[in-house]
Amino acid sequence: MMDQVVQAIALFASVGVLIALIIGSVWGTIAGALPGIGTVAALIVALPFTFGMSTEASIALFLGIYVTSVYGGSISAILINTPGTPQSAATVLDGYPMARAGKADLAIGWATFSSLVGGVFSLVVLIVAAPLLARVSVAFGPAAIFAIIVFALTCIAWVSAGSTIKGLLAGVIGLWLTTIGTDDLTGYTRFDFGQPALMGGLSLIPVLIGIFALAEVFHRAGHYFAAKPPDVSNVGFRMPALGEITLRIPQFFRASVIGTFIGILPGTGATAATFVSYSDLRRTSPRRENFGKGEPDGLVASETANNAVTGGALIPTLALGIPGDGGTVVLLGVLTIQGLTPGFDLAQNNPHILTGAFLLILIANFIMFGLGALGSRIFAKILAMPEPILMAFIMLFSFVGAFVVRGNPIDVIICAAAGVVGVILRFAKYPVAPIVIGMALGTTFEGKLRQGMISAQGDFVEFISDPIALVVLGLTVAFIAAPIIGSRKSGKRNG
Amino acid sequence: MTRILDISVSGVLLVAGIALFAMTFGDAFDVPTFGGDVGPAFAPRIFLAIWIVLSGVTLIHAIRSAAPEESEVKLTQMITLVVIVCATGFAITKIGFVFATVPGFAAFCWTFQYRKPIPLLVLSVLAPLAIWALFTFGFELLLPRSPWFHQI
Repeated sequence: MMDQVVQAIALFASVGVLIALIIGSVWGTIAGALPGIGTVAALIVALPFTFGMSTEASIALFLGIYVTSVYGGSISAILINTPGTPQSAATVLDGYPMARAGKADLAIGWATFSSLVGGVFSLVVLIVAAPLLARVSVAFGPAAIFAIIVFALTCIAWVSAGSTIKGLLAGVIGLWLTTIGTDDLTGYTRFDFGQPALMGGLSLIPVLIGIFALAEVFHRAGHYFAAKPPDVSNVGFRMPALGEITLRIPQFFRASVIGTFIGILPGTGATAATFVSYSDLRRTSPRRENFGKGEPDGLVASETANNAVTGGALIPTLALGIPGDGGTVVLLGVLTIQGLTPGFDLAQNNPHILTGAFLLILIANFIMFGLGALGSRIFAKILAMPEPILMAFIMLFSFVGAFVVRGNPIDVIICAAAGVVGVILRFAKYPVAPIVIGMALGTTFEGKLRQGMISAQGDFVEFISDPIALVVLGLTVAFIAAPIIGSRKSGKRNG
Repeated sequence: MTRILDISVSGVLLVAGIALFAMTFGDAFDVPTFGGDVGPAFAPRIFLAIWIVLSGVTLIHAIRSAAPEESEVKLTQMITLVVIVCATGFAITKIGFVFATVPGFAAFCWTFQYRKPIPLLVLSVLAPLAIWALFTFGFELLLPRSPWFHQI
């Protein structure tokens, strides 16, 4: 282990990597603070720049954005009663009342410190769990990987905004999209509709960019009503008193655990974690009667949990190559572009990269704290930036990002088309995250399914008789059945 | 509007699923397999069969649901912006990044209610040029070029 740490430090200790980490952290905080941008768009805007950077600097840039963008949402949540990211939606409940009472600086202090605690806690879990899970995954045969992907897609669909059926449909559409182009096993072309440009299939990144970034731009256009910039003149940072912090150690711990373990489940994400944590602490805190009136426990609940998700969500992403949300899909894409395969390969062949990533996340959390402490006034002023200009830059970077992946102009068209499809699906209340996650997992899913079926001579029962696969599929069924049985029982009790 | 859109999208997805499923029985998918009958059509048929069932269920649900509460939407502004973005994307592939995005950036911001002509004009020219220069000379990654000039 010490060897890996030394190797990681040797690889990542450079001015370029540190600058990339700082730039990523600053941009992530800004993007998080600006309503309508969010983690995925922030990562997408940075994507084109990674093509000119080293592997280590790219990883640093992306991890900086990923860790800090979740925190950035708290700044606008506290100052202007509008969460910068969905992950900070619960922060408005106590952050804004605190700001209205003239304690905006203290609210930002609580949010910043809570984010640091959550981020570091989940990092510790990530350091222990990810390499372990990656080593265990070598025992996973095709059936087990197939079952894990079924479980992941089911989770994602189950917790997506909108109906579960629509979430499952979106996931299946994502899986189907990976069948366009040349079949890896036989070399035959599928669903190219006579278009040579489609023989190479659809690249994930342009679709991801279109469906998240451009669709969000279109959605904002439909809901934008030009207004005066918010007044954010009275902003600062005040660290909470040590006594107040130690009083809330149980709340920090609860929120950290909730955030980390919700983050591990694919598809759940920081938004779910922040509300689950807020509900839990509102029920259990000794100061529960003050929730909603500017109680620091409310900020501890939401900001600790949402940052704890960052480490938790990276466990399946780095250990198994299974992303849980749009942000981890982009991270996965960046690692793949850099020639790294998350999963057992990464842990076995590049353990120093994994260790380096852990160190970068640790440093990013502290940079985030420093930015909050020293830069909150500047970030507050950024909230006054005209939204049309911001959205226009997102359009530019979306097209650049879509093009530079393969250097193929068709990807610019695909990106625009994905944006149109994404906004239509959004208005029709279809979740779009399952589409890109289905795309990210589709090739592996089909590959393992067909590989296993060939070995089993077409006998699906024999294919699925792998013990790990049976356990995971059983968990999937239980995951679906439990809430259905639960609601039927409560219906009978009430009826 | 949302209910009509929901029904329309579910209907389109159902029809698309059926059409794609039918394609998998065509000649293009009639190829020898390796045993286990898992040729190129195997996985797509599974995905599309599930697709058809799920889209059928969402269509029925959409037809039977009551119209939900709708928030105010600036439809004209949004559709205009979609057209501008798509046109800019298409133009990038034909006349290059810089020449497509300079007017695209300006039209985008103007439609998005940013109505300060001088700053807009300056930004519309400088932003695409700066991005082009950064990628061309900084990262040495060529962005789509115009048919008239070598590098831009």
